[in-house]
Amino acid sequence: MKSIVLVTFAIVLATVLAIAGCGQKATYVIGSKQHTESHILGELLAQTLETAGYTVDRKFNLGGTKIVFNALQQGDIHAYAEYSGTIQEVILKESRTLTLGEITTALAKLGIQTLEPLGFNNSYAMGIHEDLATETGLSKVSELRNYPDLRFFFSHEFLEREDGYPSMKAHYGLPQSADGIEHALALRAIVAREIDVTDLYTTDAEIDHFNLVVLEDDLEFFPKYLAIPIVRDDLPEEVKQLLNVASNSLSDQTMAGLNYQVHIEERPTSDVAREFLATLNVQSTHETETLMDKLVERTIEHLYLAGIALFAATLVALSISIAVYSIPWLSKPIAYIAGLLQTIPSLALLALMVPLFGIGTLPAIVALFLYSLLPIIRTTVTALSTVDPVLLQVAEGLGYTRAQSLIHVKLPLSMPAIFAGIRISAIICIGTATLAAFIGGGGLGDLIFQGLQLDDTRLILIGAASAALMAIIAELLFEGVEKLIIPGHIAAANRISNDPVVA
Amino acid sequence: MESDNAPCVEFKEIGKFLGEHWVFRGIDAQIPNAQVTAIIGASGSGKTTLLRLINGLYRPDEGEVTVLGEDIPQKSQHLFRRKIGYAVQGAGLFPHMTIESNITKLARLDGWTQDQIQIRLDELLRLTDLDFEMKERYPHELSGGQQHRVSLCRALMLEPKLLLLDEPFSAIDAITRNEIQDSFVALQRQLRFSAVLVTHDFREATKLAHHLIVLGNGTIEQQGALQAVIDEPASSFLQELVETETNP
Repeated sequence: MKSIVLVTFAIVLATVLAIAGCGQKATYVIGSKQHTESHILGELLAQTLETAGYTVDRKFNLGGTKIVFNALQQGDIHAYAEYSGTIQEVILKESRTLTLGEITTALAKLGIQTLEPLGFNNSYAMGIHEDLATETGLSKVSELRNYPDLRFFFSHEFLEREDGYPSMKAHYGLPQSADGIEHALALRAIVAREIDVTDLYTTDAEIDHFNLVVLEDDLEFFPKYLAIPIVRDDLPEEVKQLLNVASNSLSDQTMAGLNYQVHIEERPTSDVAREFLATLNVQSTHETETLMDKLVERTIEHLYLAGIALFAATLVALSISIAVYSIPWLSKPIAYIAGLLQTIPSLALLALMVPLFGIGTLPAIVALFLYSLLPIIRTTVTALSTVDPVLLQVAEGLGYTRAQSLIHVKLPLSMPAIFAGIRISAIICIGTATLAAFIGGGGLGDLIFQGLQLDDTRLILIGAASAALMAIIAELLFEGVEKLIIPGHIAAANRISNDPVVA
Repeated sequence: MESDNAPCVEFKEIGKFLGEHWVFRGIDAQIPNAQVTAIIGASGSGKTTLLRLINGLYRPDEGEVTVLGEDIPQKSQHLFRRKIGYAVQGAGLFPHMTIESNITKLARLDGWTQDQIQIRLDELLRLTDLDFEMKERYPHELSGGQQHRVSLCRALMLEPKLLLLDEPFSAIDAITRNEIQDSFVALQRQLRFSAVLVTHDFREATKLAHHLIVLGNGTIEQQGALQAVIDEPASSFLQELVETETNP
């Protein structure tokens, strides 16, 4: 446990130094969820503060409303853009439609202040293909009643959530039943005229791109999803003012246009945000990272996460193993608990860390650390307790103390197995660290999530291949070290010499 | 130092309970100084158990063992064991250590200087007819016979007054065994240590030992000087052994 304290201390120290080193103005952390629009809005907020001379730390790609909002409440981030409908349903868990005033009051009780809405409403909408609209003359949702044969396919979330299709079907009295489909697939299918109606967001970049028509919500079923920057209410007034920069200046069309530039034209979000800020007379000088910069930065983060977690896990797992290997009633439950940790899906384990440690590097390292314990504990305990009893008896008979027998006989003979455990843990660490981006831990996962979000296969591949390459290099490195410190015949004959012989 | 006439090891009314039964009870025996004593007996008669009572690997359930004039200490037994050499069947060399480390590791841990270690090591290698070049090799690179010689060197490294040998030469072929037995006899003559040898090989006992302890039926059937035992075997088991081994 001591090493966890050490790691924590190191991270806190590093953070303090980083903040102190920045000098003049404070650092603010801007968050965003894992979709393009949230990214663009995050960039807008971030670059506005940077232009005013603040330092900004971007925690983008955070996995979901609860994680981002909790991070805001705990002070891990200072601001991000949220939607009124999401605040009402996911954060306040209110089924009744709330006014903006009610939302503001409710959030204020949680220590969060709503700024001015940005102007657009990114709500659900029903989309059909342009040609279908021409053929049928459909323009309003209520008119769908007249076409019972139309094929409805909706995103799984829309199919299932309370304010989704079941309510809408009742509200409009629609006869059609619907099936679930991935959003990206739905758009392609609608273009191919394989399906007829799907759910869209009103600011979807694809509306124009795929020649879709949005049906008017004439019976006003869909709640409003007004985009609003929300901030911690302890932020200085000056900063809150700055973050209001884009208030009421983003229409549905403008936002869809920005989304289009990123999503379809594949331009970097930071460029798109900078150019939009210029239209508001904010001259951001933020330079978009090149792919190479990103790759290098993310690789270093990745190594840092996996490296510290593995190092701490090795120390702790070895200490635990050495302490308990000779006590079966203790070593078995410990291996069992470590095994239990392993069965928790990695994403869930990461998410579980958020309430305990907030977001960022620390919870990611703790999760990776817990994940790496089992392989090392299991192989070490097994190896230490199966060393040839004849050799141990000889050591004892010759006059080795228990500690000397452990250090000079048991541990060296267990080295190949211990190394195998550490190698497995290293690979697990490097692989799982790609999920750290989910809770703002950075790493190569950032590239993968960004690629997923932008439907950019190249970015996904670069992220995934780099992680894989790192795993291979780690493997080779361990092999090299192993060859250096373990005599070859021990590595090879480890199993044979473990054959128990009774004298 | 105790007088030369005092026994090297003395068992008084020893009983040892293992598993669910007494291995033996009422053992009274004396192991003479500067001689080789062989413990023989049918398998299961407790030969190895008796040996392990000497260096404290086992504790007696009844009676007392006195070794080199003192009781076996309760604490810091490792210091006590360092006065007693120990070698087992199959050599039992540490496979991850070089030959030199196998022999000298304990001396290093015991605080010997490099010079002391070097002198003793070279002496032992010479006495056991081992090549100096072997020092850097690992046990698996040596023949079975060489491994057993190294095992003897290791047991003798700390200049013990007493050497315990648990069927040390039983896992090697007959020719090699003969050679090592010859070396052992020469070694003992030169260094004059006391030794206790557990063996199931009566011929080995007659070749190496000066003194015999014959275990059987949960107690000592006979003990005494080699020739005396051979001349007047006290049990039918021994009688048979003596006849088959001495009149091939």
